[in-house]
Amino acid sequence: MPYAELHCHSYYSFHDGASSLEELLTQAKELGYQALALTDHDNLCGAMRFAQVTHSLDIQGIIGAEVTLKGGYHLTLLARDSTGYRNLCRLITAAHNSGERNNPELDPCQLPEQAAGLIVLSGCPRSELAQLIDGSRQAEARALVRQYLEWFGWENYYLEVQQNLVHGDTSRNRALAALAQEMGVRMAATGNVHYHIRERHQLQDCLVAIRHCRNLEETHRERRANSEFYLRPVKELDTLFQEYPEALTNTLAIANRCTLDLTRDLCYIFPDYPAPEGETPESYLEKLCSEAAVRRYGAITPEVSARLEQEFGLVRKFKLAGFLLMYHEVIKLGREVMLEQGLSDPSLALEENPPGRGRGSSVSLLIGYLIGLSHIDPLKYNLSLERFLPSDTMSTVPDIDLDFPRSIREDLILRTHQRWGWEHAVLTGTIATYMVKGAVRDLGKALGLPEEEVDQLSRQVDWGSAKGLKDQMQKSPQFQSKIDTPVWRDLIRLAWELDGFPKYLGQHPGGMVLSSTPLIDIVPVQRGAIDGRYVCQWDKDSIDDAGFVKIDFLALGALSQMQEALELIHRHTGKRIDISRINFEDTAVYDMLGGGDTIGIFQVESAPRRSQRRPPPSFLVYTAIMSTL
Amino acid sequence: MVQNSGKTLCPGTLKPVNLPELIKAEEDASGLPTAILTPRRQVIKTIEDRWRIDDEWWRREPVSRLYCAVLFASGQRLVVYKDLTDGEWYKQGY
Repeated sequence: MPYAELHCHSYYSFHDGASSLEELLTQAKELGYQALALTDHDNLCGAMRFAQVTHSLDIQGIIGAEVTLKGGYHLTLLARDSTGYRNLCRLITAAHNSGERNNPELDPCQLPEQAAGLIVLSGCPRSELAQLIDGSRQAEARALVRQYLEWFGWENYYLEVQQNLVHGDTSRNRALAALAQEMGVRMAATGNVHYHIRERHQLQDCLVAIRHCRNLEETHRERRANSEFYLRPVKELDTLFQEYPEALTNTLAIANRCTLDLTRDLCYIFPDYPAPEGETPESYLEKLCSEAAVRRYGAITPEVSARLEQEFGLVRKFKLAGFLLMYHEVIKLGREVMLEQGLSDPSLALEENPPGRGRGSSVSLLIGYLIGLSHIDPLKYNLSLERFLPSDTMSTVPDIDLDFPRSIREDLILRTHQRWGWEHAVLTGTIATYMVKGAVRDLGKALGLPEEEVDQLSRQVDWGSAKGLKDQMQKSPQFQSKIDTPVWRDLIRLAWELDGFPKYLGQHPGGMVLSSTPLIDIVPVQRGAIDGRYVCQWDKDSIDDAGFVKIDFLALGALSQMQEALELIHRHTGKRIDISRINFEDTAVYDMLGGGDTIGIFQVESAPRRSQRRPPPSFLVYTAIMSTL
Repeated sequence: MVQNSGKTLCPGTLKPVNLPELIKAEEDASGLPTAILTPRRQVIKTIEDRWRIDDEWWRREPVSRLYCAVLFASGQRLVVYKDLTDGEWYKQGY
């Protein structure tokens, strides 16, 4: 009988799922499953990549989640379509913003409002319904089923039956079947999958121990009872659910109704720039640039005019005016922060003392120089526009990185949240993953190996893949004899499996995403570790795949120092230095560089760079020398 | 209440109770029991429940057992398990 697995945890169920998306999908495909649903705990961190991989493997993927309700109960939600996906994102966001930061909990009262487009399975043994059944509280179980039927409708609510050969599964399933019969509700069989093959259960045990900061011996109650949470051959499922064959066929009916394709159905729109009355974004940008050009160059020279004409041609062609103006808005926010911190003079024009520094190919844009994105005059250095704005095609919006002094960057992130609202402007997520040192430390503790030796080994091994642990131990006189001894052997094998596993969702140092449509309709958003910050559950790769525009606010300590130096100069001399107009032909500076006296100077303080003992003939030549080292 | 015997408690004085008892059983192709042969052959009418335990795999003697709650034609019930590490069947009284 064909089957669709509707309850599956990947390694994005941090410290619970023990297989990657690729491993799960490949195995599901090999077993002949019609579809596989991704239902990680309270997150969609893997959803975009899952959608991409399902395409390449040609298997239907269903996006869902196992959400935690108030009281710790679990509930399985599947997105039927883009409306359901939007509601799933909103519910997960709500769960993260109501409970403790690392313990999301959704108030079930929020379910009816976001019920459209979702299919609900009643949940695993940790669900409220299963707990009521296990506690023989039939009347309350009936009332709960009635409540969900009212919220989601008969066609979208199923009683979830799982048979993982855990003591109690059989009796619970019989009680659920009786309840389904009595109330006219359908059942759906699921595997509560936590790994793709049985052999991975040992790693799953370790992950649970790590999550509870204890070892395997101390976590009998927390760990799963057996190794039955893998993707089963369909024949096994037929046997396990022989009393309820309709629960298996219903999985296909559900899969057929789930038509969402995340690679196609996202509704991301970069914010429109609200141009002043009587202006279009293009005309307003041109106006800003013309005014700044007069301030910068004294007049709009033929050279400036020709370059602006070329750039505006491309801006119109690729519809980038709103995009550049949005960057300008961010720079203006940075400028506000700068003024509040007393780091600039309000009488100066924005481009005279911009809060950040552009870098990379974007500095070739004269428009950027004129609206404060960069302090480098592209005309003076004859910078080619082609690398930043190719004239023929452009698959994605160009990437503009902005460097800020630390103090400005910190406030700017908060101000950006405030300016557009955290539902429209959030930090990019970042997924920390296991490498050899972390794997040794965490697995060593879980396996109960001597703490001191685990600590020594984790300090001895070089950074890199955990797959290389055996080779590294081979080279260590202290540890080579342990390679084939009990438990250490397990450590090597499990570290190999754990390599690259996600540990937790963190925040990107400064990548922000802006959106016209609320971001919480596209990706769940949660509070960051630092108060007032909000992080989306996708990392930069998923964000790229989704076609989001990411603005990088990067912090540079060197810029903080320079900013401080400029302020000291101003305080002591009354002079404001325009850093974009400093003399690049200062021979005293070149003598200092040639003398190797560069310790503490950003980018030129490393030993090979200090060894360049000839004063450079010019700034451009020096730049070329440095870039080859 | 049990009277204090005055003896010092140490591991040697502990007596395990309800230890599983080695038995012989017949199995079907899927490895499930069809009859218990010890002390005499009793045909299993139904397997009412089954569950599995996998634990302590990091120790010298891992635990891996498939339990079955069986109902005999006689109406008698029994819990047996197959030790998946050595393939033997045991009776476990509850």
